[in-house]
Amino acid sequence: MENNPEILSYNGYLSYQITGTLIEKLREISRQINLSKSTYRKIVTLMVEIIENNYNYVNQLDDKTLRSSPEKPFFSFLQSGDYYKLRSGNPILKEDARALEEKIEYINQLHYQQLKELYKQTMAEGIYENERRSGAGLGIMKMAKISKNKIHYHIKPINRNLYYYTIEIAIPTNHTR
Amino acid sequence: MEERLYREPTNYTPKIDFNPKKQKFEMAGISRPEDAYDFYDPVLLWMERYTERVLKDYEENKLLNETFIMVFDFIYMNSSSSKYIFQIISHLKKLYEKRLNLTIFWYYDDLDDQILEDGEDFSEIIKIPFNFMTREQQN
Repeated sequence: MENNPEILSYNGYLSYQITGTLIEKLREISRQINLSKSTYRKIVTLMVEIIENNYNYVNQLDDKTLRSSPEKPFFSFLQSGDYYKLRSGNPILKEDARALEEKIEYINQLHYQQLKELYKQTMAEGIYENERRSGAGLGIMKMAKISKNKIHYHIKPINRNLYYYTIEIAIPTNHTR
Repeated sequence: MEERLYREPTNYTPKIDFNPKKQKFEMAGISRPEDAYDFYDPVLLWMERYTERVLKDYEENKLLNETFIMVFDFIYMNSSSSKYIFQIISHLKKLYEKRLNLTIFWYYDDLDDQILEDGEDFSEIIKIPFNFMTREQQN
């Protein structure tokens, strides 16, 4: 049951400046909804990762391709029962869809310890030029590691070139380490 | 000797103060730069050159002070930054491997286990013990 939908939301193209504005808003809201400092920090971390994941994909699209998408990017943060949920959606290139799905499926089937090891291994492998924009999935791993829950996602075709990708990360409202 | 590397903190990037004279290196604040490569590449390059020079001095018995201190005091770092920060520690590890006296302090807010966990991950991967300290212990 969605008992308090959309504590914070944004519809439209995201950027690192908008992320800053949303962090500020979250800071104000965290006092109103009595978020513990620990949970607040986790939500900020998740929020930044999920939004960066969103606009990193969108930034790969040229203007014409982007305009062809009837569905625009969004981000939302809400409470649903005993969970806080962060959701994001954005168009992605058709050719990125399969790799993204495989990445998330692989992460989702790992136990927490396996995920921690994969995260550390990916970090230790270093930085490669071709990862500058697309990433090696470290952000998705970090989100899964913090939430300790499976990543919910959906990828559906929009048109000949684009798919629409939505992702949802949940953490319990009484999150502990 | 290398020149001191100093960057003022911003809302998106950390303070960087790498002081070769004191052999003390500090990074503090928020790290989620618009382009992690653009921000961190010069920092990495500085640290690579510095450690190479120190190791050369060491091999030639010219190193006067064998104590090095690295201080991390992050409020937040994104995953794109993590890889670069890890690379900075990797360069410093070369000093540790030569048994030079490298001490790494990792500060965190008592109620912020996320930054603590990031530090623990780094320490485990790099196989160097960190001194984990709450921010209150810093003052």
